[in-house]
Amino acid sequence: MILRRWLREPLLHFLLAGLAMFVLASWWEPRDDSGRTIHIGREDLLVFMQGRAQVYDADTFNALLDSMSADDREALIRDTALQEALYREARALNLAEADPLVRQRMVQQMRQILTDEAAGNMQVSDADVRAWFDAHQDQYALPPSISFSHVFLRAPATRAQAEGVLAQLRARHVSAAEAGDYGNRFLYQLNYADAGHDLVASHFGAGFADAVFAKHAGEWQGPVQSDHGWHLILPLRVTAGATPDFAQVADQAREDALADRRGRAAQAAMDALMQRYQIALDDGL
Amino acid sequence: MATGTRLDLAGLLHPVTDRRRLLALAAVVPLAACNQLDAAPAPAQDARLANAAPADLPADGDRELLWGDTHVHTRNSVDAFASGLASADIDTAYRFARGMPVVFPKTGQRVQIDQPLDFMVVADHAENLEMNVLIERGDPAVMATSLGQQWHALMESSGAQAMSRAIMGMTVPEAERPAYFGEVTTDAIRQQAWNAQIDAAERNNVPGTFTAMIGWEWSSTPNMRNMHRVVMTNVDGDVARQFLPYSYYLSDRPEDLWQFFEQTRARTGADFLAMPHNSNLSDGRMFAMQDSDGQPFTADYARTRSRWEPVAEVTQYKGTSETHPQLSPQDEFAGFELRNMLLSGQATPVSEGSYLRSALLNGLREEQRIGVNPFQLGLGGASDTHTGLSSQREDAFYGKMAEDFLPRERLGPGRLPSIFPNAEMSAGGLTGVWADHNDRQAIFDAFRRREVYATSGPRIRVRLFAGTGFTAADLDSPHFGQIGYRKGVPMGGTLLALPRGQAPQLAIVAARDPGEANLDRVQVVKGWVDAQGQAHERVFNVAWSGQRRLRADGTLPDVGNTVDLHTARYTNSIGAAELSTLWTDPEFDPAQRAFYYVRVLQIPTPRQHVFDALALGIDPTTLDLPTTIRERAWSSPVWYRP
Repeated sequence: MILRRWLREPLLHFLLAGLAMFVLASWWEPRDDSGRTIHIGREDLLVFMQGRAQVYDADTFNALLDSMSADDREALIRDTALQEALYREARALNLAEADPLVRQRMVQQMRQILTDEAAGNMQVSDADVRAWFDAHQDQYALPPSISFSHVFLRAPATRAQAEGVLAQLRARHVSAAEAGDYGNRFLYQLNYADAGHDLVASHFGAGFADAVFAKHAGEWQGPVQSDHGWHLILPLRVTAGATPDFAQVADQAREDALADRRGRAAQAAMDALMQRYQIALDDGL
Repeated sequence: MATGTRLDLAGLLHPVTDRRRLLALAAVVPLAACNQLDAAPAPAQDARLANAAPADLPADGDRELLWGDTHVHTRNSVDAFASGLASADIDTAYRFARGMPVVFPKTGQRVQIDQPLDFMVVADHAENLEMNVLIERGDPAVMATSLGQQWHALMESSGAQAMSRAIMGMTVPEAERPAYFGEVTTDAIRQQAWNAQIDAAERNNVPGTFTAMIGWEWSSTPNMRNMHRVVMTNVDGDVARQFLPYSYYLSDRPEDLWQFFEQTRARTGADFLAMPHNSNLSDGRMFAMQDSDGQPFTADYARTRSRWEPVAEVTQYKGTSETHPQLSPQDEFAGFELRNMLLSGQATPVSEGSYLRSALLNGLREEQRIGVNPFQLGLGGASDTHTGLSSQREDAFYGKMAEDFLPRERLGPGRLPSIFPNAEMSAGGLTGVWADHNDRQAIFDAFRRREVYATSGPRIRVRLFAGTGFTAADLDSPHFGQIGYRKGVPMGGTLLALPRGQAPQLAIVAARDPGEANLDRVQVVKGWVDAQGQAHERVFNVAWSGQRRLRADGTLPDVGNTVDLHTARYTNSIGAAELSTLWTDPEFDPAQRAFYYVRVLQIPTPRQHVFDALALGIDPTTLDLPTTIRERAWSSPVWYRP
């Protein structure tokens, strides 16, 4: 029979199944054809309030919502609905496409998602960290530095005058804390702690910096001439440039190795993404 | 040359009991042959010393306290021009600071600063510097570009404000702005604008009386996070003309700004320093613990940063960045003129990277980790005025922007909308500088050694030395300054480990602004890092007015409040004109890195908006703003480095 044949027709099965799914779906999630009904629940109000305040604290805003006067609550509902309405209108106008800031934001988010996916749970082993350190020792090199106090004799003081003061400093075993009692006030600091060559050069001149970095710790030395006059130097700690032991910088090396691995994974994810696209250039570009 | 005033040697030496110090002084005294200020030749007491010591050198006079504003915008800044012709031009800005009466373009009224400033940095934005003025004038080079014509047409049709918005390029995505502005940011156009800034500085620079430091603002604002720096240089116009002010259209990374300093210094000899400001508007980015690539700091990075950035602005119109009550819950006075948001006004979470006290603490931690402190920062204050008028007085506040000046524009139903409403802004921000002279190099050097401090407006005099061998009598000596430099280091300096693990003394003298309110108290803010690398802070009350007694927890009873909210007046019947102390940290640990800075509080006085409210007949207590203000000064720290 024709009917029986129809009943065996796969197309009919397909259409009936589709209809059933549609009915089921509309029952589960009633569709609003107009798009002009804004459903607002307590959660929507809380989300809106926190977004508006830029403070995210559910307990506080729950309490705030409960204690709200009827007028305030009505205003809040109107504001929440207005925001949703504006959002829908913006979507209808496809503003996301037109507004470069929104576009940028979406791109940023997508990049973040891909990066997190690719590198979120990444770990490095102890061996990885060690290998990283061995390959990047330069990065952890400690430049030379010096801690010193000094006595300054302002120009036109002479070297001979400075040598006289040096004799006193040595004879009296003057400490760094007493250095200010001798000589003139220097225009920058009396004490320098673990200062680098650049800083010393910028305060005293490059020649002075070279000379002072060649001194040894522990006693008054000089005189050394700077851009400003003569100096007697009491170096307290002279640290030669060095590559630190692995143990000293292990934590930092671990961070760096992990950051490097994450960066590579993220880059690989971007490359994989681009594999799925072709770039078609305009003529003449 | 000697003025004839004799240094009272007996008086100077009186407090010094240590025999070795006496001998040392004898060695120095011959150096004091010819003091410019108040010293005179003194007899050599020991023939051997007289032979050894230089006999004809000028000794040290004391340093003098200079007052200045390091952050003034004139209408040559694009955003200042946003209020049309209401902001002052650059010469008016200088003349106002120098104490002359000027006309405030907003209202046409005559205005005059209460006390002239000693120095100023006009820090107009380098980004499209003077562009509005060039267009207003129809400058041929700018009018030859299509953007220039477009903007000119906009000004004709829609006014100066609309044109300024366009020139700020807010509708163009950040990353595309440099290319977009390409045709108007040629070297030729920029040089012309820069030369005009320099010419104005040269016209107004009077060494010894008023110093016009040459500078600009680098206004990097990635995603509305304020990373701005005010830049100043030590050089005069002839050298400054050999470079162009580095703008964020060239790069928004501070590392690139420092590289520009390095290269330009090598090429021209000009030196630079950059003052970060409004970290409170940076959403934690300004003093974040990573570089611009998100990498942890290296020793190299820290050295470079601390070399070019020795001082940061702690206070200005757009808020105070010392600390926040959420970060310093134990500090009763942490909630001062706060503004924790993006530059655009959107609120942000409170984070350590936005505040200086946290930065100072994190600096110590970084020093422990990598050997160098990236945040060894002194503290300065500035107005960031965009009216051209550096205005700090609560009772005569000319405002951040010139848009809302009249009381009815600031408060009540007719108030004008603004991202920076003047009623909310702080009427304050000045830097006190202990300098050898009032000239460009001497002021620059004072910033470089961090011997500078900030106030919220009043010219509170603050002196701090950290060292050993001070006696109480030193504080009263007319030669406190000279004594301080001999026995210790001034604010901004570093103390190295002392013999026998002895604790340093802090010698502090604070005096009120003669025309202002009395002082309530002096506090010392200490920050330190323990052996586990944990950062700690504590605020000590160290000197105060009246007969108050410290409570067991270290707090002090309130000084009281004389502010009359009907008249906006207060009286100096409470507080003290001067406070001083010799303080030693009771919790000093010779093995711990630490910093100490001084905070001086005034008695309560009426806040700036209260004057407008009363004038309008509005009850100030009905407004959502504090009615009184605790004006204050913050010294730069001294660091202890075992």
